[in-house]
Amino acid sequence: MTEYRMHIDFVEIQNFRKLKACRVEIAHRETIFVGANNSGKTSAMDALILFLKRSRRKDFATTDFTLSNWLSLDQLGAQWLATADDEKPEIAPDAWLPLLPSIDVWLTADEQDLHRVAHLVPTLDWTTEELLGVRLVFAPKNMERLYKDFRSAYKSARNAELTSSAAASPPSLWPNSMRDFLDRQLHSQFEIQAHILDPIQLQNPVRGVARPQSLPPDSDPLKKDPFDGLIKIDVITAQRGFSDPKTEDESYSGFASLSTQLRRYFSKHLNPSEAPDASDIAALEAIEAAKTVFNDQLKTSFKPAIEELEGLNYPGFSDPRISIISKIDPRDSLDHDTAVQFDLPGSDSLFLPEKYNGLGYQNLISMVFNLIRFRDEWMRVGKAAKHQDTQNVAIEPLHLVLVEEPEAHLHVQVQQVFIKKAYKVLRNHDALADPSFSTQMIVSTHSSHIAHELDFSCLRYFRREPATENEKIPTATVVNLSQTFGDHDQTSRFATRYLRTTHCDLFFADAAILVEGSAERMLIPHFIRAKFPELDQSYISLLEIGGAHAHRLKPLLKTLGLLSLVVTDLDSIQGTGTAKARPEIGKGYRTGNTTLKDWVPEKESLDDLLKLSDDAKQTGEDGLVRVAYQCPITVEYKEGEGQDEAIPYTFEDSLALTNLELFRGYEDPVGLLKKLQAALEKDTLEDASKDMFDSLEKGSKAEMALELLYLSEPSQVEPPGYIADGLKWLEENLQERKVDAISTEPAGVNDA
Amino acid sequence: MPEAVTQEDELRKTIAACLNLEKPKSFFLYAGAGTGKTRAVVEALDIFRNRYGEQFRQSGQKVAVITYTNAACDEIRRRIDFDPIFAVSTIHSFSWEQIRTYHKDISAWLRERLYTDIIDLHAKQEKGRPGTKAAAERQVQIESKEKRLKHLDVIKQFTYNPNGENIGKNSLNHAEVIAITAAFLADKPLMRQILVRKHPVLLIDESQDTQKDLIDAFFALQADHPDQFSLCLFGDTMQRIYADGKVGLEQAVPTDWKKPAIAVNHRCPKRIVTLLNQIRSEADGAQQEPRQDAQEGVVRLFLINDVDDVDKLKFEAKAARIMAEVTSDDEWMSQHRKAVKVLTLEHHMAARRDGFDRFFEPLYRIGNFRTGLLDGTLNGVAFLTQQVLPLVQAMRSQDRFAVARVVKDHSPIVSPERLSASETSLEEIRAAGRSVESIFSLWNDGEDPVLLDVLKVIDNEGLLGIPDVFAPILSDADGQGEEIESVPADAEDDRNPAVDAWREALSVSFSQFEAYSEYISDKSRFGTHQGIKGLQFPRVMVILDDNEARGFMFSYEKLLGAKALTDRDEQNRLEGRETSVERTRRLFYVTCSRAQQSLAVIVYTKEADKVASYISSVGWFEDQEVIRM
Repeated sequence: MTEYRMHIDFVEIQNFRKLKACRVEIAHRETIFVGANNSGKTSAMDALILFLKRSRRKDFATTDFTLSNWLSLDQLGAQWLATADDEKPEIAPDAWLPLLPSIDVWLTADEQDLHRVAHLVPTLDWTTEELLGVRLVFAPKNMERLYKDFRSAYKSARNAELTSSAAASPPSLWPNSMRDFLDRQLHSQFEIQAHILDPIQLQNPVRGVARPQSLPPDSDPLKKDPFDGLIKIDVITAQRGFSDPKTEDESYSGFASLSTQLRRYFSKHLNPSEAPDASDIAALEAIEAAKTVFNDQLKTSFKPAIEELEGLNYPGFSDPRISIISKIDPRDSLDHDTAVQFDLPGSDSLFLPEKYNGLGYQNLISMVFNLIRFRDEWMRVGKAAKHQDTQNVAIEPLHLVLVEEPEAHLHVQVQQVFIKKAYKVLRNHDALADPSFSTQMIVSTHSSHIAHELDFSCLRYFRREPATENEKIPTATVVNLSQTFGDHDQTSRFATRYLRTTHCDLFFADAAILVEGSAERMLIPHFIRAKFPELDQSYISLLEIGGAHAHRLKPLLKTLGLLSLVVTDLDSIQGTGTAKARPEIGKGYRTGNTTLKDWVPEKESLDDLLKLSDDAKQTGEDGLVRVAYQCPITVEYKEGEGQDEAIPYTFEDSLALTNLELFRGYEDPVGLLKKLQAALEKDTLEDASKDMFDSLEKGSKAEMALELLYLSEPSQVEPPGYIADGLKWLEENLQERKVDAISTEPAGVNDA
Repeated sequence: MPEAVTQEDELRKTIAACLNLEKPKSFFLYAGAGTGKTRAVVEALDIFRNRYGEQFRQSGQKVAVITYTNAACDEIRRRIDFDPIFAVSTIHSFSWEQIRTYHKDISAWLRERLYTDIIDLHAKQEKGRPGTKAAAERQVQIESKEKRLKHLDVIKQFTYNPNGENIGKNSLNHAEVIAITAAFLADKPLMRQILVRKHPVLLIDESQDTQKDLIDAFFALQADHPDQFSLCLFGDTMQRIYADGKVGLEQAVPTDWKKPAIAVNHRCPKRIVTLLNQIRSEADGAQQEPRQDAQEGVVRLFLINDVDDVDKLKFEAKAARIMAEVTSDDEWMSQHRKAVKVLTLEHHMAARRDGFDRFFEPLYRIGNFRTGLLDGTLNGVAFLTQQVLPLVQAMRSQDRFAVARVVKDHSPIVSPERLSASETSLEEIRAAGRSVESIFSLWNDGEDPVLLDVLKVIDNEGLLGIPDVFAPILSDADGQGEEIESVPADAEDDRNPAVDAWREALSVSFSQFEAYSEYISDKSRFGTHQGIKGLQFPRVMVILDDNEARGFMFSYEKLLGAKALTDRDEQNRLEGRETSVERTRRLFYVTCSRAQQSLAVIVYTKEADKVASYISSVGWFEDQEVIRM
């Protein structure tokens, strides 16, 4: 499959919850929405569902409008209220349109699809080189009616308040603002309208913010649904198990037992008594034969009872006869809980009804079966081709499948199976070898296992943007990760491999901490838990990646806009060559750490690094990345002998110097810890430092961390100063960004 | 009929070979009168459906079938089981369907067109003499076009109704829709691509009468996309009767097209087929053959001197009597509408013979009444046909249930609102009953009341809601008695010709209206030459009467040698343009070919002798078939 015919290139969502204006590029096959909590990926999914899936449009609510837009909308309402009765009201939709939720869908179509999309072509000078755009906007059905209804409702409420007897505290009656009015009247006043967009005015986003065109003031909405017959849209919602079983919408998938689903599939695609053809004759004959046998059986067994009834000789009937006729409907034969049984391998006679299977497995089967069903409905498999309602409708050239959080109840391995198979299932039909039918699948997920199973180019990362001067509320932008590393070079391959092998959850984190080695990786979580309670409540992704490699993640972290702390080592070396040296000031030493040299703070001289102020340790332009490395520690090495200063070489000696008493007090330590303890027994701090430097060259650092955890309560261990500073920086910055985010999220619309 | 069968087999093979999506070929199927053209179309569609039905159902593509009338569309749709892979429509619906979403392009086209029209008119205005009627008309046109040009900016969406009047400000007229479609197909590559994708196969029935620019555009489209598009034309150039069809269609068909033909006429008897071949011999010489089992058939030509007070109805009745004798078929004498079809050139000729001319003519004079008058949708006519007439007919047949049905459906007296508001609702219903009685009393003693009187009683009784168009006439009548009051001189400008026309039409007896109603609902014995495309009747009487027809497009006198060709005709002939003789010949051919059993041709002429000798010289009718009266 190299050729992709009709497909959605991207959508631009505007004014939908916190998605003020963002472009989401849709890949040809799978697209995975990733991002931290509250980053807008569920909003994007919901926008797609609410706008595109006709049966779900009724779920639109006033909370789906971008919160800050309500201020403007309420103002427009207030202007209307201030309009005098004889004045001409301002009811042009121009003031409203830029504030209303909308989605622009941009499609590619080639010459072969022209007959399908002819109604979306903006003018006859359009060529297939250009995209086709349609805006769906949730707008007032009739501005004049909205004006009248709002004014009359508002005025009668105020009048009623005036006449209220409770003069002291008059009751507040509905409505007291436009928003209040629409909270109740939204669906009677609003509808989704479609407009054709002009490809010539299409602009690329600037710094992640989409710049959708404004509609010409005289644009008339299309009369018909623009995607009717063009796109088949199916949804697997996250609320499996909570769906309304009475819903008639087949593609609104609930979590039904496999037998229920099979039964539905049977009656739609297979039922032999529906529009029968030659291949159904055998089944129908069998049913007929069974019916005859069964009827005979009924006749025989009921005979005595019926004879007795007939013997009553009911007056008025000349010759009453009672017959019993059975009806066998093939659908009923599947209508019981144990219609689906699982055959245990290796035994011919043991079967398990499906309800004895684990929830996770059921969920997987249920989802995959739904995908199968979507596909077969689309391809009009079997009897579906003969149903009246589908017979007269051509197969849609594009199948768009939206899957919300498939990871629920699935084990890690099963998640990976699902995402690997899902697209293949959707394409598993003979006719789909033909490129004239495209399938695009969009999945939103919180699972790194799902995110990493597919290529980077499938991922769309939802990045939170804090409030700024221009944008008073936090918004979200969407990053297409396929462009992060530019060309597919060594760096990109490294990042991909690294993330996949470490199952790193970078895409879902609020912040990242990159650490030098396993000792830090083991101990930093304890420091956070004990000393930084605020930080502890955030979702921090901890990556163990040495200073020699950490900088390779720079483009990725930059793209993700993720707040990151890089905990690394000084790596001091001699002024020339690469020989290691115990860090000392004024010796002309350098650092061998690529991160410090090339990323932040981009300094090589050890003296410079040690003198650097805290502010200079973060990246200049955005302040999103801060580096933490060893700094001089002032300790009272011997009681009563006053303060002394040492420059630690690694995390381990920093830890030792920071927790002198603790380290000296261990009984029977082993390995590196033992050596450090021994060093701390030296007479002077200078000697101790020297000893420790030598020991660190040889000892196993990971083991030392384990030993430390074994011997002491982690809360007793003080973090070294440079790490504490770094964590403090992270906590403060994270808090700053978070405050914005929480205060503006409308209640009840949790973007989890 | 072994040859006929093999001929049809051959035809099926040819069509099947052309309808091949991998290697499409176009064809022009010559199918003359009575050859079962519709059947050939349906067979072609069946062949296609068997091979590509499934594919088209999946891809959403459709075969487009263009036919001439809505009735023909319905017929074909029914015969292909309403299969959605076929889009069957008239040329107007088809064209509108292609362009309806491209409002910006339409607007640009219309702006350009209006602009050049206005420049053109101004140029003519400068050349022409001022103060003439033509100059005044041009001025009106200029103003109306300028108004439209200005209004163009505020039109967001154009509207169009293929089956009726298009008088709204945003609407396009029939000619514009055809012209726009042709222009877009010619100028916009995208339009061509879309059409070829939507409809890889396009069938056009009666292609000889399809507007010439459009046919040319389709030819160009086929030449542009020969590997993706198959154009299938059905028709008979001899049956082209509309002026905007393409002249020389058959000659314009590219040489690499297939040109199958059906030669057997299944409709007409042998004698009539011979006549048709003779009429045609001077045109393109194409010949038909009758079915082997066809009847012999009878034709007669009646020659009548067209003098001033000639009693045409008497002559025509006599001709019918003679036809009954020579054919031994008494049905010729019957007045039943299905017995004899009388074909005239113009509606007013039918109106006069059918006794509704005094109702019809005043209204027909109003230009924008015409379509509505002929299809029964004219405001006022609809009220009379749908409310008054059923009521009168129900009363006449004493069907009290039918009376009650009309009253319940239409009368404001017994409307639910009124009854629920009334305290004496039963009394209201009785009152309605009495109203009906008093209206019907107008027909007492075999009277044929005047339409206006019927309306007045209905109005006085309040039995039916009178449409607004009648209000001024009824109020005149109320105030001033039955005579139209003398109008003050300065009121001249206020006279509304439409109201005047109605006033005149309503002053005639009810039976005139009834006859009109039957004519427009095709229940009359009469039809016009042009309105009978594709139809057939057992006994046909064709009336040729240039004088009464009052037209200039056709001249039977010239066709039948009574009048010499004018200089202009000669000029046209020399320059290869068609003459009125050619047009008339085709019309004559179409009318004669409707007859299934016998045919009477009535000729009113100033020069009966010349006609007689001409007819004899060309051998259309034998001497004993010509009857002079």
